[in-house]
Amino acid sequence: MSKEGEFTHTLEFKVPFLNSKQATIACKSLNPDPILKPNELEVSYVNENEVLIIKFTGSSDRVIRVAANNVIENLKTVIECFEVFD
Amino acid sequence: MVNLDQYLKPNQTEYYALGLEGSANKLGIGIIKHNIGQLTTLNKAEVLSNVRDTYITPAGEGFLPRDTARHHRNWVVRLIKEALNEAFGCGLHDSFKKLDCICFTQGPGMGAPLQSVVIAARTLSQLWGIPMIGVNHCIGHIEMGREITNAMNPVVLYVSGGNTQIIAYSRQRYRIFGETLDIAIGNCLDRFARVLKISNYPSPGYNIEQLAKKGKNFIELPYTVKGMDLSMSGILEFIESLANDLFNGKKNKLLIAKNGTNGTNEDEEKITIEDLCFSLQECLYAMLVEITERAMAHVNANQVLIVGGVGCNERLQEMMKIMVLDRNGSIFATDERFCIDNGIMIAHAGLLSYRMGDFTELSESVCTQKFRTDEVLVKWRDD
Amino acid sequence: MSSLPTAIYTSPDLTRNFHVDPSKSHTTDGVTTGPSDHVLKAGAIDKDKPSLIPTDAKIGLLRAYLTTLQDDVNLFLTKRMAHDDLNSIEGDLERRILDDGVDEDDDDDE
Repeated sequence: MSKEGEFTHTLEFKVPFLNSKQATIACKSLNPDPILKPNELEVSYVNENEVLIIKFTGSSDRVIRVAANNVIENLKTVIECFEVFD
Repeated sequence: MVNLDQYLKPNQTEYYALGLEGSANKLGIGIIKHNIGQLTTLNKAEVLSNVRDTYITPAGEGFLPRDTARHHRNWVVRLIKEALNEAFGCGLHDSFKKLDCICFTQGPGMGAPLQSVVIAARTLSQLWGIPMIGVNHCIGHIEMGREITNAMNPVVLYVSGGNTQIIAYSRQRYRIFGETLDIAIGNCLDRFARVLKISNYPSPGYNIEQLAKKGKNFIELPYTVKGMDLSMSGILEFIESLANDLFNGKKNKLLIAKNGTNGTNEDEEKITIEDLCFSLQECLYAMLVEITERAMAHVNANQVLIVGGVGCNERLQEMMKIMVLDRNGSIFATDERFCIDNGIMIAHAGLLSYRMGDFTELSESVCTQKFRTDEVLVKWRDD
Repeated sequence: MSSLPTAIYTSPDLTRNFHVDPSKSHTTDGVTTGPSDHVLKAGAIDKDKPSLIPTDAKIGLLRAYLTTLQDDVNLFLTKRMAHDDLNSIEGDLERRILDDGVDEDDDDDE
């Protein structure tokens, strides 16, 4: 096990949207919610043109799995909004 | 009187708001319309749509945040679509253009379900280019209750699965005069329903109410009013152990009702589940009536408004009515469309904030599990 | 859409790339995102599956691709966790984080 605060594990998603507007909206919709265990995990959201990049950096597989799953669940709601309303 | 049209846009004659509620196991979406001017009995808010889907768990099970959040996120977009169709007809791609704002429940409530809904609010707010308004769930109940019933300045009894409060308005705050010191009344009823393993559909409280109607014998339970506050966890524990004794056939003298005149064994009657439900309701509601009456006396009010899911309970309404009429007052309650958690109340209260110029920026749109009723400055009232 | 969602995992001992194969079929109903075991054991029937993707959605199948990617990553990480720590406290931690420290009894609504 890693020491607390030592972030040795990373997981990075690249999600391509239709355009940069959608990627920006997705980024801004996910970004406000704080990370629940900042001492064990960091998350960053960046959009490069139409691609949203979500990077998790954490101290264990466990914290990364929990956080990543939750963020992807939320991202799917964003995408479903685009499916129906954009 | 507060001017609700200070931020009116040129040529605007009405306002439309979408409301999203998901603080517990109901997902509710509503669309409300206000005409310009004061809200009066002649200029009422108009409900254009009010749709809801409830996450129901198997009998004996409560709802966990994770599964409840899953329910909300898997239904939220479909329900928004349904609400828009109902309000504006089928031309989806234009219908949202009428909306002035998107209102969402910011708290109090369960963290994960709240968060699953605000994500949709943030996305649509950006997509449609309209502001978001974070709404206090309790304020939603109070303002919708006032609008539906025309109760001008009532003492508000707010009773639901997550909250039990007695509230009165004073100087732009809904002030809490009394509240539960431990569990909420709806939670007490829900948990007892779980002990009895009765269905959670349509709601555990409704099913307890139906059983209670068949109860005949009253068993005395602890009565725990503490000043303006009340406590219910001890009552729950007490009645749970009675129910367990009843299920296990364990001897307990409290489970024998003596109906006869001479007290012989032939006159003994066994206490039933129905009797327990009846006794629990009578005891809890008597406590609510007591603190409501005290609050009325305290603020010198003669109107009582009951809001929240437990407010649908007919026995509670009946008991409250007896007390209120005794004081020459009037009682106001709404039906299940409005007292059970719903999106329209969030749309309505949010639109009042919007009309006072309040928006919630994306960065401030994080939901919070604890959000007290009296934290909100009620800008839209100045009486 | 020209490109597909991807993921990359790195740890001191391993790097792993995740891709989705568009020639296979993908659904929005993931294997790792169903109801919790707890309610399934109690006899719950899942009436709350994710919606299907509208056929006219301009954004196409992104949500289904992402669901597949999410399943792959989840299963991979779960396996590593089990390997890491046989006496895993996964369930406990996951509940704590996802449910945000709330006992449902405090907040469930009528």
